[in-house]
Amino acid sequence: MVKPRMQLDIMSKRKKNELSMPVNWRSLKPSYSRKSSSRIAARKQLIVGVRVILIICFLSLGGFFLINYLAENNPHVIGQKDFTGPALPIEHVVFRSDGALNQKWFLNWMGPLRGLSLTEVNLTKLHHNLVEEDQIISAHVRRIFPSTLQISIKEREPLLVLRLRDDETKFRDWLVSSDGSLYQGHGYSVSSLRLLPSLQVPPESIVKNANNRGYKKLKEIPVVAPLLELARSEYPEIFRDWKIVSYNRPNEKDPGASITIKSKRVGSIRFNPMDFAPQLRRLRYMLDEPKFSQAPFIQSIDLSHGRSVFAKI
Amino acid sequence: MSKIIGAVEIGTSFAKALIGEVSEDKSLNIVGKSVRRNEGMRKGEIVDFRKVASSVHAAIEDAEKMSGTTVDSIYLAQTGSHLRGNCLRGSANVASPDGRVALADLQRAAEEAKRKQPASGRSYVHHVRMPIRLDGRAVEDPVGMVGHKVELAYWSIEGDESAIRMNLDLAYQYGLEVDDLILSSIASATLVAGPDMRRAGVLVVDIGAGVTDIALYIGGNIAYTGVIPVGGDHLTGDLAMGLRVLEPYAEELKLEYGKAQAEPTDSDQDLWIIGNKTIGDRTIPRKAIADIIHVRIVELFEIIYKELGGLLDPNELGAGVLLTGGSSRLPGIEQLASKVLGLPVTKANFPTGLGHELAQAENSTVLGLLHYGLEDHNLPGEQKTSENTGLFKKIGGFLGI
Repeated sequence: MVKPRMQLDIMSKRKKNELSMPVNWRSLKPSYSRKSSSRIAARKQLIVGVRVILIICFLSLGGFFLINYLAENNPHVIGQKDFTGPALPIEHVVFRSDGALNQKWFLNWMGPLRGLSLTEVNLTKLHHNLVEEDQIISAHVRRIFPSTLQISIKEREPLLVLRLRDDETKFRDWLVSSDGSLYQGHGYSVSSLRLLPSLQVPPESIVKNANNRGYKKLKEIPVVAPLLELARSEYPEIFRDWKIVSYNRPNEKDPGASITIKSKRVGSIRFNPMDFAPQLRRLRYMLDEPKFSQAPFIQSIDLSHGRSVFAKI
Repeated sequence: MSKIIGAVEIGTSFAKALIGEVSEDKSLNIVGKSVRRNEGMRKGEIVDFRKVASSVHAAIEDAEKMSGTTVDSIYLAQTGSHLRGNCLRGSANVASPDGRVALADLQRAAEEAKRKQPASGRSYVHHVRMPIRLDGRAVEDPVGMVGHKVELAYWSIEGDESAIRMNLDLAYQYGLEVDDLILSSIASATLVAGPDMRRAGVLVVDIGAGVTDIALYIGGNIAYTGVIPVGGDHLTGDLAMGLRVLEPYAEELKLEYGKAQAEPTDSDQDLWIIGNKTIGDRTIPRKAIADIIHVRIVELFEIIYKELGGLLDPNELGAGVLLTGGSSRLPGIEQLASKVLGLPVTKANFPTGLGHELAQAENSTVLGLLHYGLEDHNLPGEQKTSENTGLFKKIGGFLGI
């Protein structure tokens, strides 16, 4: 009576799908990783692994060189290599900028895009031309298949305005960025430009470029720029009042170096070209002093002598 | 184009690997062989997996180095006292309206025969086909013959799943596939008992170190297989115990002076146990060695006789009994076996063409594996399947991965 029951128990331990097929030694093949139990097997596994990696590397390199070879020897591909297949004409232009330039400017600058295929756009040339623009620091150009051209640019930020005589009769305003570049700005609103102080420098420090187009960088501006940037961000009410900025040998090591600013209320504010933060703190303190705040016009404030401030009402 | 095949026997004392090159005309040329001492097994079963793995992998590596090639797959021998043989039968009615037997009829009968499940935790190792019967009449190839019902029987050997899995893992861990798992006794019999002997009826007894494998053929087909957990190591153990000597000395005495039956002259002969006549060395009568071995050998053949029972019919075993395996080299063993079994017993001869070093009784299983691999064991009319036909496998084989 016991035997059939035992047989049933044994059978019930097997899964239903196993019951249809007898258990053969081939079904005992391990599905888990074949971790070796002997050094010899481990060494063999390592050798096989290294061979597989080498073969993959070899095939990848071979494939890469083959694709390159085919691309270079294909008469239908000129200039750029297109591994992505045929593209449609450009339908969308995505333009991103951190400054004043916008998509309208880009479309004007770029010229007509109608009928131009995405693969026909020479990205290298486009990038080069964008970076050639004085207002643009860097540019990133990419294709998004099938029909989108994406441009991202980083612009220079104007800090000062420099008015220069173009010829005998005309004057032209040039924007000065924090690195000393002089450029003709595009896309800035009149109100934003009106707030910028003017730069006054000796004529001999302004040198034209070799191609007679534009001017070389003003090398003293990187020393002056931190003062203006700090004033604009931390003391906007003072900065708004500044009209003319000039500098005299603004070399940090020069004992006579100074930056002079003319504002509406103060005839001359003199800064030392080092440690602008305490100087600006002192200026604010001075301007908030009742005696100075009530005065309609202050002749001069000299902040260039460390903690000693000389002022004349 | 020639094909490389490998064979591995994981014996109780030694792990053996052979690599053969099969030419287009199906002739086999042994190109690599290696034998490594195996200390991780007892009575044909693994007791220390890592030791066995080291021996087996070293043997395969040596054989590969000797052959100057690598093998992707092997024929693996399986033995052990956990193995049991059963006869599975299946039948199928002939489907064709004209009554002609087709391959599909045979396949249905084979499927029915193999349908029986082994017990839980056990797995089939080997299905050896027995005679095909068409309407009760034994035929070799019934395909195309007219009849109503085909009957097919298999001698199916099943074994303990974990023991089989461990055996397979040894190959898989070395990155080898297993072409077939073959019972040691059948492998030995394939080599030492040719088709004529098998047709005449023969009992092949392979006395290994840990176990003795037996395979009985009647009328050209397998009739019984078995594994008896007695082997050469038992003789060594008996000598060590009986003579009170350490096993290495007992092993030396067995190999040098051992015989299955004592001779009258043995009583007068004394032997030094260690041989260097130093302190601890002593003499023993040679007859004592023979007497101890005699008892165990008689016991072994009595077990065989008991296990086979009525199958040992002298009328059906025209070729008698063939002894092979390392312990069959014992002088006088065939006379003793003949006395116990009541059948003519001879030591197995090896096919011509094998080198002297290879044509030794202890190599019969591993050599038999290669020979078994060459033979076609499919149903009549069925095409031999080859696993190594995939493009990736071929490329992998070509690149040595």
